[in-house]
Amino acid sequence: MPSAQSSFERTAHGVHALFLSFPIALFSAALATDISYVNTAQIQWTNFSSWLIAGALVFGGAVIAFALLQWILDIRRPFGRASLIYLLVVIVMWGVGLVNAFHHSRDAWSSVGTAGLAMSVVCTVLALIAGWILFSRPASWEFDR
Amino acid sequence: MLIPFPVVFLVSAFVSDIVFWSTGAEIWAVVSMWLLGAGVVMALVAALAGFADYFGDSRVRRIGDATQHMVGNLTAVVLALVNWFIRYQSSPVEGVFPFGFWISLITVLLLLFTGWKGWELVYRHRVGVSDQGQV
Repeated sequence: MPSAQSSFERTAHGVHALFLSFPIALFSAALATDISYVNTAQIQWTNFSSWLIAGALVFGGAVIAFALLQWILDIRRPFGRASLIYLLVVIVMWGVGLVNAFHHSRDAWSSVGTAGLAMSVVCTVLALIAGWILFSRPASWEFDR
Repeated sequence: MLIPFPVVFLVSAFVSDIVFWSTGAEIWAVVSMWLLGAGVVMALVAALAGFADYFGDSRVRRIGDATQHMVGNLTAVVLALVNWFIRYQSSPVEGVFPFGFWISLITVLLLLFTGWKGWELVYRHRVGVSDQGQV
């Protein structure tokens, strides 16, 4: 049966994609600023990281809500498993991001380090994976042309 | 999947301008400048993908939304570049007012328009969408 989606769902997907864009870009940027900090030891880079991670978490929280609702809607549909994977990916992404935020609140040099860098990498990769899953979803929809 | 980067960076640059306006702390003006720079760079990268679609596929060229999306985005990139340059010429702090802040705002408004067009392009016109079916 064709998986035609209502226009409400399509609009919601668009808003969801916009919200996910923030963790994708901000976690990636935080990884870059973490690397800058480790290379230069200039404190403002880690401050920049902290704010980028905070922003990513704010939008990431909304993404989790979207993902949860989407999964519930999708349970009986062909896309159900992908929606569950997506939900788990964004939850883990957010959780690691949260721990990373706490880690970044430490003083000076200890705010990043190996652990901070590793977490930033994980968040970035998970965000990109989430983006891949979410942005490829319109391919499975039937539309009136 | 390039589009998140310039959109988020340029929108965040405006947010950071607002925070600078509100707090006066120099760090925010510096953050704005970095976000503007990164936004311009990523926008140009995303533009390459867009050009490949637009100039490489006559079906896409025929879509009015596509032309509007392209022109709007190129304008936004030029504005963001000018914005960055103003701050580079004077200083991150001095560049924010009077012009930088308002250019940031106009850029965000432009992105709202081109974002809407982009939505139409993907969801209605299925540009860049594989029609092979299920993921």
